[in-house]
Amino acid sequence: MNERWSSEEEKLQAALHAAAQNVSPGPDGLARIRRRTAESPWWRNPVFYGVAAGVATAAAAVVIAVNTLGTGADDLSVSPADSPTSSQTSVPSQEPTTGPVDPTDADPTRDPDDDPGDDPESEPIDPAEEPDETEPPATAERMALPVYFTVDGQVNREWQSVTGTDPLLAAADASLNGTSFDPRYESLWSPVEVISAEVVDGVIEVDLRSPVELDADPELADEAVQQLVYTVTATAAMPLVPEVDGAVPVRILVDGAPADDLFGSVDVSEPVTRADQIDVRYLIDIDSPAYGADVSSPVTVSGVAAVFEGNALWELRRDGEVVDSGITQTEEAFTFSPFSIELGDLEPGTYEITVMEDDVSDGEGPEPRFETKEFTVVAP
Amino acid sequence: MEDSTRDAEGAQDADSAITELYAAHYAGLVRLAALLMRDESVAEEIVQDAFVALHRRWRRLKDPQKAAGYLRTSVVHGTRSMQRRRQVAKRHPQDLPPDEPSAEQTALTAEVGNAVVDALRELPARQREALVLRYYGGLSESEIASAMKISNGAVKSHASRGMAALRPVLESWRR
Repeated sequence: MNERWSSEEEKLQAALHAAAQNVSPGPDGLARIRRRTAESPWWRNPVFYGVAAGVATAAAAVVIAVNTLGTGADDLSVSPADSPTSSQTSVPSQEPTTGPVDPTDADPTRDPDDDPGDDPESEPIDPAEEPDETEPPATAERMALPVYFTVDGQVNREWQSVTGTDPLLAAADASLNGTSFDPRYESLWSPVEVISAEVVDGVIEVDLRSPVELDADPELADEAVQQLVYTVTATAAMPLVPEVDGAVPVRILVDGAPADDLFGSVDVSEPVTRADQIDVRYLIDIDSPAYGADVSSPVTVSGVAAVFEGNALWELRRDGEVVDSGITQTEEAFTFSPFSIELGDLEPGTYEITVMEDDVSDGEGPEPRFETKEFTVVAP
Repeated sequence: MEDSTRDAEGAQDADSAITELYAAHYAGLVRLAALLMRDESVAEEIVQDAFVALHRRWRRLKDPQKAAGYLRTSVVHGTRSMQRRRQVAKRHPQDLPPDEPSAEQTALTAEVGNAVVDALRELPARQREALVLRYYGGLSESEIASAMKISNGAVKSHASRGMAALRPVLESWRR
């Protein structure tokens, strides 16, 4: 095949092959891949992932239980309802009366702009302006909380409905130990006990029980800290947590004592503030429909994106086939800004909506970012 | 329930496909990544990431024949983003995580390289990618274009500029 190659080209080929021969991959590559593609431990297992990984019977349909008995101060129910193997189906909303949460219910406002914690630079939204479906809880009740996970090492938000009495603790716990509905989302943390999370002198203080470990590339240590910081600051900005806004810093304690660093690399000796979202946040976030949600027609997709000239492409698929597509415009360009897509009337069935960056570099730039949500249109 | 059955089958397909693809392509992809990186210690990680990503989107892959190309594209992309992260880390030396050798690193005992590879690593990333995919990967221009997500014409120009830059060191290189 290379009869037309010059002697230079042949030399380059020989040099590259000689160098490549020095590389011997380790013996455990397949095992490492398998470990990551197999079913995760149940507490980290996103709701659909178990099915996708071939463990149909163990699919955790009930990710978040509504614990009607949970009245104790620390009583949270951000956990599978019974046991990891108790549920049999993969459809989270098949038994709406027994507790599985339709993720679409998780966002009481349905408006992505209602997360004032998102941008510490912008003026905080007056909590009084928030729709008031969620009053500060006296006893355990259902709260819709902004829980951050990560995609490609960048934080991304999922609204989750959580029952408990302490929104900060519940949100921190859901982020670090909970399960995302979207199988693409993952936590960068090894499971860790959140002892407490509260506002103390204008700082959100989060106390973690050791060991506190990263479950990701060490280079993502900063992003892991931001995953927690974004979650608790966004939660603090909710009307559930009066008296603070989303711009407050976060002090991280380990076993009740101030920590110097986390994961051996991130300085947390001073309270940590939210990093600029343009640096740490995944550029496209679909808020609604939530992954796996049941919705009724007509369907509107909403979310937040920071995209070139405010243009984002979208595709609606059914059974893998594109059934509709278009371009949506965010309200502002180049910065995180809301978008909305009217999909109109859809017949009942399961769909996938993908919103992606327009690749203006024509392939020269990084791979375009995208977000996909699967949802089901139910008959009225 | 039909859906879960189908999903379960899909997952099995994905598992066995990954195993086959691993046997056929893993070592080659690790070598490809090692040549593309300035620091080959993370080559395996990048390739493993590519397999995991493929597994995750297996059901959405329309044409399983394209899996090898998908892996190649992910590896090229993975090396790019790893180098970007490294550059960011370099600008903030205090944030550098401790350099603990992983299991994979110890497997990559021998130093990858020679004078030609050293010179190659000084080239702009696109030129390096075009040359490595062509002369190590043995790919056609169109295959390179799709792995790098650029046009055929751009592949040609990156390759010829890279080749020109390597000319002096190639002249003096002896196997």
